[in-house]
Amino acid sequence: MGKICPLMGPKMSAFCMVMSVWGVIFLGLLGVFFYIQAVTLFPDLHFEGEGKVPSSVIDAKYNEKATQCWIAAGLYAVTLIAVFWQNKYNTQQIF
Amino acid sequence: MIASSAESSGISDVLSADEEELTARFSDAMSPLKLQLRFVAGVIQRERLPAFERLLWRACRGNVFLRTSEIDDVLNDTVTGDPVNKCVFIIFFQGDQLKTKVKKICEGFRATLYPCPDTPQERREMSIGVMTRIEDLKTVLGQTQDHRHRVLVAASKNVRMWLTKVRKIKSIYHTLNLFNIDVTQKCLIAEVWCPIAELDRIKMALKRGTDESGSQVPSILNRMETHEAPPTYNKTNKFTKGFQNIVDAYGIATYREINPAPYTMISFPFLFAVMFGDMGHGVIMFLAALFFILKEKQLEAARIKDEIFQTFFGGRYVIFLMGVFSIYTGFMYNDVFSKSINTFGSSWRNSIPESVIDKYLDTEKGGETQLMLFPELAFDGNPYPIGVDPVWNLAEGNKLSFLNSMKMKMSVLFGIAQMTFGVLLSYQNYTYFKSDLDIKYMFIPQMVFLSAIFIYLCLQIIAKWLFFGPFATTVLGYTYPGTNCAPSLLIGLINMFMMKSRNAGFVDEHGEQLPQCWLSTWYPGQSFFETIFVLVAIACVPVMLFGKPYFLWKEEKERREGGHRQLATIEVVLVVLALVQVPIMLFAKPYFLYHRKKQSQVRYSTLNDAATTSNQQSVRADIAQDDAEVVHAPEQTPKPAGGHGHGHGDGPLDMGDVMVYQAIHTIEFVLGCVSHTASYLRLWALSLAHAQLSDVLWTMVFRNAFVLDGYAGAVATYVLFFIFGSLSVFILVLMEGLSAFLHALRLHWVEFQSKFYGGLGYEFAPFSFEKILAEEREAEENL
Repeated sequence: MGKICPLMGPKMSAFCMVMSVWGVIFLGLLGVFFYIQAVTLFPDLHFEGEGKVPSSVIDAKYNEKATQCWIAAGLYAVTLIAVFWQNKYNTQQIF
Repeated sequence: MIASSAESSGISDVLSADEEELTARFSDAMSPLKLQLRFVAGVIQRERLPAFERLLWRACRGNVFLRTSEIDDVLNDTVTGDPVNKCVFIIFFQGDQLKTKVKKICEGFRATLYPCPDTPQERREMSIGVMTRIEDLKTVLGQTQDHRHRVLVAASKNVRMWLTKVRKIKSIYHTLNLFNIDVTQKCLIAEVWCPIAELDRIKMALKRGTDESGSQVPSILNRMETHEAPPTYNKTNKFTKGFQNIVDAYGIATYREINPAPYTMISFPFLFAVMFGDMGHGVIMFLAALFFILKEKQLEAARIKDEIFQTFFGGRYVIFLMGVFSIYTGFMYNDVFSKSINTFGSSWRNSIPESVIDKYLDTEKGGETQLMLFPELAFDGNPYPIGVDPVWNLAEGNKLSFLNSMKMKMSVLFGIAQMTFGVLLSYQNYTYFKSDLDIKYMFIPQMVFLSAIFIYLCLQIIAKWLFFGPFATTVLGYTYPGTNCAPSLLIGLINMFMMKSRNAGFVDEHGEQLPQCWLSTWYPGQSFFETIFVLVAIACVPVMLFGKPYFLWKEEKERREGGHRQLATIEVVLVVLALVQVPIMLFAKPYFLYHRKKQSQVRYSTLNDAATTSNQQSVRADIAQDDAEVVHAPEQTPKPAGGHGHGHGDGPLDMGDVMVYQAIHTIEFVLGCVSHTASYLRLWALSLAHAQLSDVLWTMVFRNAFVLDGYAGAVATYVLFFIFGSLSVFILVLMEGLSAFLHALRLHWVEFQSKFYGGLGYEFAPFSFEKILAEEREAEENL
């Protein structure tokens, strides 16, 4: 099997693989915590303008951030597959 | 061989090329001279050719004809093996004189001449002959090479085994060289250290050795008494090895001293984790160590030579425990990547009515106002079951003041607990070495000193945590109005030493709060007890300082006096003898001289001789007497019996040394108690630094991901998480971990081990093939 688009060597791909697995788990969980509206994550929400914010806006914000985290987690899942493929076919050190 | 055959084949080529042309020419023009025309052929080094040609021309005055041709193949010098370029030449000439001249010149230029037959037929035959010879030689060479290759391949399979054998044998002979040879008994004698527990195995091994060697005389193993300090040997396995290394890096334990490694196994990862408390980072560390442990065999077999990797891999069990403990302390601090988890439900609720909050929100910039939750209103009275209440994570105003106060107190508690444990271990050492004086005048005053000030402080901390809650009650007999009157322990400690008079209780007789009520005494009789504690602690210092030296000195004195009493009678006799000798010396000689003179008045000449001889004899007798006394002298002073395990036992007591030693130890302990307690505050400082750094990483880096909305936000999360994750691993786990590791190391080496650990021993280094072979292999790999 020849090298298919060799982008990273074994060490880099191993590191990215670990980061991707971590990203999927971490961002997935973070999404869950946003979804259940964890108070500790409230300072991470960003609101436009001053004054009182109605609770429906806060709910929407929490949900939006949860989706955002899950999309990012999905991106990491894709990255994981890509990096796994890299690691499998490009085991030779290229640099 | 090869070179010369190649040369001759080159010549034949040249000849065959030149020959036809020349014969054709000569047969046309010079047919009468044909018979006399002769030639020599040979090869010469290329660089010599121009000079050779010129000399031939000059010496033979142009009467010779030289043709040359280069040999394209690079030939090898048969002697040195260096590559050389050569040329083939052929020289035609006429007559014998020229022939000798030409030959001499050829010799001079170190050209190799080859015989060449005159007729073409012979030449052809010769060329064929040469060709077959070359073919033969090629086959022979090929076969030789094949054979050599086969032999070497066979040897290469065994070479590692042979090297191992040679190294083993070498090390055995090296060790045998250290044996003593007993010539009369015809045997070798070795004195070795060995663990007593292994004696049976050693005996078995010796017996097996005797059996296998077929010897009729068995090896004899004797335990011998010695005054030398034996080496220290702590049995380890792959789990305990890492911790034993931590202890040994400071100093190998003195023989039979208590080994702190088993306690280090728990306290080291724990103190590390106190500084590294974060569940998230703990999990990363735990998983990394788990990977190392599960892939142990493969990673060992891979023999990765990277030094940093080897350090981590060697300490995998230490890292594993550090990770586990970090998860635990992170749970206690309620910290996961600087976020808290509300597992059991916070004990705090919002006590501020919404109308008030709305009022703030309606005003301009009112959203920035910080409101305070009063504990008596917002706290429900049941503390969070375990760990820090998650509500503190949201307390922007006083999160740090709360955590700092808690962590500082905790550090003091842990520190003093560990130091006290160290002092208790020193008791184990003293009882083992049967050093009664050390127990009485070192251990007891040390414990009293520690208890009177520092353990008392710890009890105060715990009492403050237990009794002074958010609500106004009666605490220890005093009315406690509320949190603002909770006693200040630090200033309380200072006041304890200053013996300052303080108010008793927090309120006056009318129930009014006293000014500065947190400085009051908070249990009945506090001032009295504290005065006593301070006085007792101060009294301990002179006991530590002078107790042991005084008793050593007293013992020494008694021993010396005891010895003198035994010798008193002998001394009296000697003094009497000396006194008696004075009149004898004074009068004996004159008396005898006078006596002799009277007896033999005639023989004047011999009288002088006799006088001198008698004089010499008396001198000699004196010398003999002196000798006897000198020999006797060392016997008079009895050797002091073995001392009390403090190294002064063998010689006479040197009071100066003992005092200096004791003073250093006392000062070290007394000042150390203060400075080491302060030093344990690093637990708080590093924990604070770690928590703050991870907080900064979240707010400054990761939080930005949530500013953007939609898909841009998702991509931002994707990118920023990568940065956040990498920084978490490299800065928070690796760098902070390293720093916490070093601080934990210091706390163990300095603060803990200084209380009991001598570390003056040397390591037991048994003869081991494994170690020798590993060293050799490493040296080989580093080549």
